Amino acid sequence: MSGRLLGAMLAHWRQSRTLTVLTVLGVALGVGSVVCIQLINQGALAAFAGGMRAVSGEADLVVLGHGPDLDETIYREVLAHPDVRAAWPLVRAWAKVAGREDEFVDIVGVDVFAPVDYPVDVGGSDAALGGLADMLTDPGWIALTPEFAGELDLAVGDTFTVAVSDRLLTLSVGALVDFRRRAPLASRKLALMDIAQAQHLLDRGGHVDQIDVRIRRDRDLATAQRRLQDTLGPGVRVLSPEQRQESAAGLLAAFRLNLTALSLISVMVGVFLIFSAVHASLVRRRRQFGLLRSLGAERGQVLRVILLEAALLGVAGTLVGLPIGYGAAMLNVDTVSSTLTSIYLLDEIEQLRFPPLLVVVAVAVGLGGALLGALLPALDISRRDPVALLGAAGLPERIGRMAPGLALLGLGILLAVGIWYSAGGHELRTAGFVLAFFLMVSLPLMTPLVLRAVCSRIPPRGFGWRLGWRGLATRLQSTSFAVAALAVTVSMLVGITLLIGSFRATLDTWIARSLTADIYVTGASWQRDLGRTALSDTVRTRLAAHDAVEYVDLQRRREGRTDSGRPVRLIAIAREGRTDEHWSARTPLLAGDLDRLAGRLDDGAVVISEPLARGLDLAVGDSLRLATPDGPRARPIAGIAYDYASEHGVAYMAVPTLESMIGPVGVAAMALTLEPGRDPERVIDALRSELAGHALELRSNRRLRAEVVDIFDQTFAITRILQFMALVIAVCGVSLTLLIMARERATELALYRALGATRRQVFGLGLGEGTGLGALGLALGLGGGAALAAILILVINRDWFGWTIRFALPAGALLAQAVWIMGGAVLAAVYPALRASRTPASELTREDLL
Amino acid sequence: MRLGVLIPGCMLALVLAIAAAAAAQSWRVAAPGHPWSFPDDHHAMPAYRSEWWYLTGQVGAADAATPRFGVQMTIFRIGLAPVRPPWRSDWAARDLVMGHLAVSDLESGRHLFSEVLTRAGPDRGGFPQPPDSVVAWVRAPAGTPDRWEIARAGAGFRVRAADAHQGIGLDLVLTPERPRIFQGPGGYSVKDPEAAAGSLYYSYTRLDAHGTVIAGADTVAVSGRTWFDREVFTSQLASRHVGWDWFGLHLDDGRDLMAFALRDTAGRADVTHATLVAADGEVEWLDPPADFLVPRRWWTSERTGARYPVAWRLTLPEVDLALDLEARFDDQENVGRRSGIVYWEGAVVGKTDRGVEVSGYGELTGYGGGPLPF
Amino acid sequence: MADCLLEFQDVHREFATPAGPSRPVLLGVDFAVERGASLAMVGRSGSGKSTLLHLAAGIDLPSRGEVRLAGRSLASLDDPVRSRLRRDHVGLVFQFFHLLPHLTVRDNVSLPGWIAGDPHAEVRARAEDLLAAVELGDRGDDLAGRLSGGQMQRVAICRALQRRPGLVLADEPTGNLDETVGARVMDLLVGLCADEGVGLLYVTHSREQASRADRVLRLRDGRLAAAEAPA
Repeated sequence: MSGRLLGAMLAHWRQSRTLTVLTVLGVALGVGSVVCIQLINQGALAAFAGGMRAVSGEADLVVLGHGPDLDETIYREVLAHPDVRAAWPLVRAWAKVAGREDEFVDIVGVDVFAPVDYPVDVGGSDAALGGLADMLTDPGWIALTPEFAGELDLAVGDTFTVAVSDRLLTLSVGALVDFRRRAPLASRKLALMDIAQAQHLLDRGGHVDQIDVRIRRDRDLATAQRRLQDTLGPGVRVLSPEQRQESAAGLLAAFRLNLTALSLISVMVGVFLIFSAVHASLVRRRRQFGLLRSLGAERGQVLRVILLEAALLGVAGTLVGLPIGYGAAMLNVDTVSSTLTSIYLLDEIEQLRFPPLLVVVAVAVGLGGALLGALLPALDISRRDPVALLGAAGLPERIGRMAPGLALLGLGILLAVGIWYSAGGHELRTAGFVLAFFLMVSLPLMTPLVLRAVCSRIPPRGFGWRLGWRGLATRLQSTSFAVAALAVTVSMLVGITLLIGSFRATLDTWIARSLTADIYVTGASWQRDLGRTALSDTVRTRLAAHDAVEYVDLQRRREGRTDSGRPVRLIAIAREGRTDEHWSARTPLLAGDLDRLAGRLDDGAVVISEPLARGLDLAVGDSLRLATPDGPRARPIAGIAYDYASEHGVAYMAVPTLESMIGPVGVAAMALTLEPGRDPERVIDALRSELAGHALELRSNRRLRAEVVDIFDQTFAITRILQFMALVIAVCGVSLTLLIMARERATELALYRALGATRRQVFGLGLGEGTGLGALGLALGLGGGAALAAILILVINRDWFGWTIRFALPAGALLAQAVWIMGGAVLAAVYPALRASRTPASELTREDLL
Repeated sequence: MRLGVLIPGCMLALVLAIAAAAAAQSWRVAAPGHPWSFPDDHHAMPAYRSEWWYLTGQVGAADAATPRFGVQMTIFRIGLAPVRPPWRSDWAARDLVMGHLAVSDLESGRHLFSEVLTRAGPDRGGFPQPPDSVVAWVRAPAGTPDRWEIARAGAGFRVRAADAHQGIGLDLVLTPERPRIFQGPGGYSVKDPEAAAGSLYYSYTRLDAHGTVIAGADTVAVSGRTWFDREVFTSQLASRHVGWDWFGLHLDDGRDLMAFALRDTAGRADVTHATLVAADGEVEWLDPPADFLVPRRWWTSERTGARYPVAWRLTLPEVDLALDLEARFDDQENVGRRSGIVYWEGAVVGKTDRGVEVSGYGELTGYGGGPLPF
Repeated sequence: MADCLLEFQDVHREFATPAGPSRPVLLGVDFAVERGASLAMVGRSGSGKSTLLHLAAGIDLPSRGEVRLAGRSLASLDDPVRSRLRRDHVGLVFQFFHLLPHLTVRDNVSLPGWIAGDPHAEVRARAEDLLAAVELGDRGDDLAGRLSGGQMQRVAICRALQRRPGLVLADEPTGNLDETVGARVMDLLVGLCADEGVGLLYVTHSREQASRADRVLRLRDGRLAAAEAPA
């Protein structure tokens, strides 16, 4: 019997095509959001993992420094350890390909006599075999992946130029190495070089980046790891590949979590849509169900059939949503990659792989969402008496009576959550998400009451939007869902817009305060250097001695770690030139005494960034404990500064302080302040031609600010697509609601026509209703969005990133969004209003309107 | 020939083959008339492409009837480039250092081998020049501290090496029982008369060894009679030679015998040579017939599939010497995982027709594995 | 015939069936309704009464023949014009009342005025007057859904007369009311129409009620015939 029932149900859905399409679309967009984000999240680390597997796939453990590299002498100690079966070193560096915009090659310097294989392809003839031996002696010998060689239009035997810091080097393609054979997701930019040449060209004599280790087969890995770490001491880290992966994942934890949370909101909105559609459809078909029940079908059977129907819609929506999600991810790969490389110093996403597990997740979301959305209406219908279902009178709307109760429940939830938070919930790192979740739950609960309160108070004064708005209050069950869905979506939109606007404003202020030099100079590859390479002395002296330059700030930097393992960027600054102002004089301090700062820094104290202070719960007067090659070292904290460059943390100090901990570091960047009256652009041109043989990046203050803002914008780019998708879902909800309403009110609309209203007037009525839904959704959403923004800025940001963000109202952006939303609502209303206007007056059946 | 994935063995052979071909002109070729000067010439001669220092012998507890261990320790220098590449890196090297260590437990019939292969470099391996007493060293394999070393000690040498994973090691002081001999006129040993391929070759045929051998958990005090070879060459194998058989034997009547046969692709001895040192130290260079060394019994290695002779009949009519030799036990095969070199090097014993006991070492190369980089 | 508000001239109406030939519902209907006159139409269900009323109101168009309302032939007019004509000249009363339950009584009565865009004060005043005339003047602010059947129909009558139409069309106005209430409602309807000088065309089952009209016509099988003279 269920089969026949199902057939009948499906026939219904085929008839009401628009309804079906909109419902499926709702599921699809919810699934698409989740798929998009998960693809991006997984892709974000895939290249890193792939690279690790390709280059170090045979290692059981890897020895790393706390900073980017290690002293080579550690290798000797590793080899001597009784648990070690084999060990080999690697030198890694990024070099910028000259003549290409933002193209880097990831050089891996290997010992070709190490007991590990590299998939080097020497191609056809015996003569080509010579290329491999040249690895040791041919200057600049490098093996590229076939893909990258193709992209750079290079063949074996060709040469090309790269920049390492400010030096230009000529490399010669000696062979092709196909890392993807070993790890399909490895970056195509990996390239192989002899370790001796790598150290020479990259100026890294005496240092290696990592030492890969294989442990004796008869030893337990965990024990061996511990023993090796003990032997080597606290100056290095000994990690398994999984731990390295975790550590990289940890860098991205906050980023990915927030994206996932965002995608879940889209799912919530999608579930709403299904709720609404299923409910409306069930109400309309109540006679069918009444008939079935009176013929003897049990409640359970009816329930099952309804849920089955919903499940089928869920599956259909999932099938549509998967490609949508993939497409959305592809659109965002580039911007997310930029964020990954510039901010997190990881590899970019080169491919998106669709893991089978994700399909399972997508189906779970689509199916689960559909079932969840259909559950309550299904239960509702299946529980009603056959008589009520068959009755001439329509089904009484329970929600009218429930509205105050629901609103009270919503308020109650907010109150309860608020109390929980202040009482102790704020200790939980995920407290912000809990708050946001319950906010998004309480908003729909309050919607029916608000809707009814607003709409029923509108005095009808004519056949136009006023009558339409009043009508919204009468079909509360349908309209409150649409408004609630819209409100949740608008909340998300507004909340994020407020966050981004505030963040941007704060960032702008900070930039204005801290970027005060006229010209910024770095080597061409500095973005990925991690501070390992330095500007050459010629460049340094020429710049410092230039007559247009009043003084320079020399920046030395190195990526490091606290002794608890948290990444910290160590920056040491020295100032040279004619000035009495200490380099720290304009530090935007949040805590600490600015007047005494200079002296304290010169005495060995440090200034840490706000996220670092918050993350480790440090205050002025505490010590920052850093992991160094000689073990942990502590430095007193003299100040805490606002810093928006990195979520992980920065520590500023004087040069002797840095070098006492990690040894001599070259100058990575220079900030030039010009003599008054000099034009930075002209000076840049002059410097460019003077230092033509060097690979330098010269940026004016204006250009650097623009770059910082660009990076910021890219970080949030992906949220925009989610916002867009959610908005489409919500607008679909409006359309769906209006369509359903048009059908349900056929008699009412026929009455208007019978009383002499023209089609255009009825169309206007429908349009007015759409506007009403849109306006109410917008209003509620603005309120919800403000609350959400507060949660994002004050709670989630503080717990996960640690920045101070000052509220700012991006009026222009909000206004534009409001226009979009209203426009969308009106657009969504057009088709339903047209359908409504077509209701012929003869639709007046012999049924009551009640 | 398309090489997808390169294994280290082939790697070495390739690198060397190509390096040889490319740089052959720049290496000095071994030739007669080398101006020997000792002790300096114990140290490396970088102008030549390759050389080795080779210790073999059977040792055991002082009061034992028969020696318990056969030991072999070799350090090879293989040149990669005539000049060290000008890279500012400790990894830039002109030489490869390879160390082989093998200990055969003659009582249990167990043979263990260890190989180290690395570029020369500050912490990795090297060939110090005088006045340093060390002539060659290479860092021990992973998991073992310290290094393998051959150093001059008085008139003799001190040799030490260990591999903790394999559980083998030795530390022996070698004292010559008779003076050093050249294995050819002027120290030049001909390997291919037509191609003028040969080596500078001298030996300490009889050294008294004292020290310790590590076998498993035991460290045993040992003494015994050993043989020390040194060869320096650029290329000594003609292309038609696939390998050689070599023996360094001590006869109980006080004589020492070195004999080798270079085999061609058909397996026949092509170039042969022998050196007999009389009890009074007189050296005689012999020119044995091609069939002077006849295999009697064969053994196939399950490990590599190579088939080695493990018993021989050696006749030198020139000096009226004939003897039967046999390996102390069959499986004394060395498989170099890193280098891809596979050969047999083991303790042998025998008896002359007149009943004089013979013991020493035999070396069989070219029976299996990859090409030889010599 | 300038007095004739509504004229049917040889009106035929057929409906297409899915399986071929069209089904004729009205066959050559001729009649007229003058201003201030009342005409009752009797007939069994299925005889085409609703169709006739739809045609009279301009909601439907005849297959053949002419329907003239306020002197204009409906067939030649497009939908917006017909709607406006209906709005200005016709009031409708239905068997099932068809009030909007979520609006107040007064708002229901005002509805036609809103549709036409009449000035608010006028609309309100007229509604008040009408409600007073049907003795529901104090119920103006109650929600229409709360009223009894009879009361609802009275409100519907007010609604029909809101814009002073020339013609009121009523489809079984008492069909959903019990006899006593129905009689009262009929009294009101006929009375008010007479007072306002409005033509009334109503369809009914009941002979009793048909007898109140000036004329009675019988509709049988799509054709019109004079009914038996009132007894």
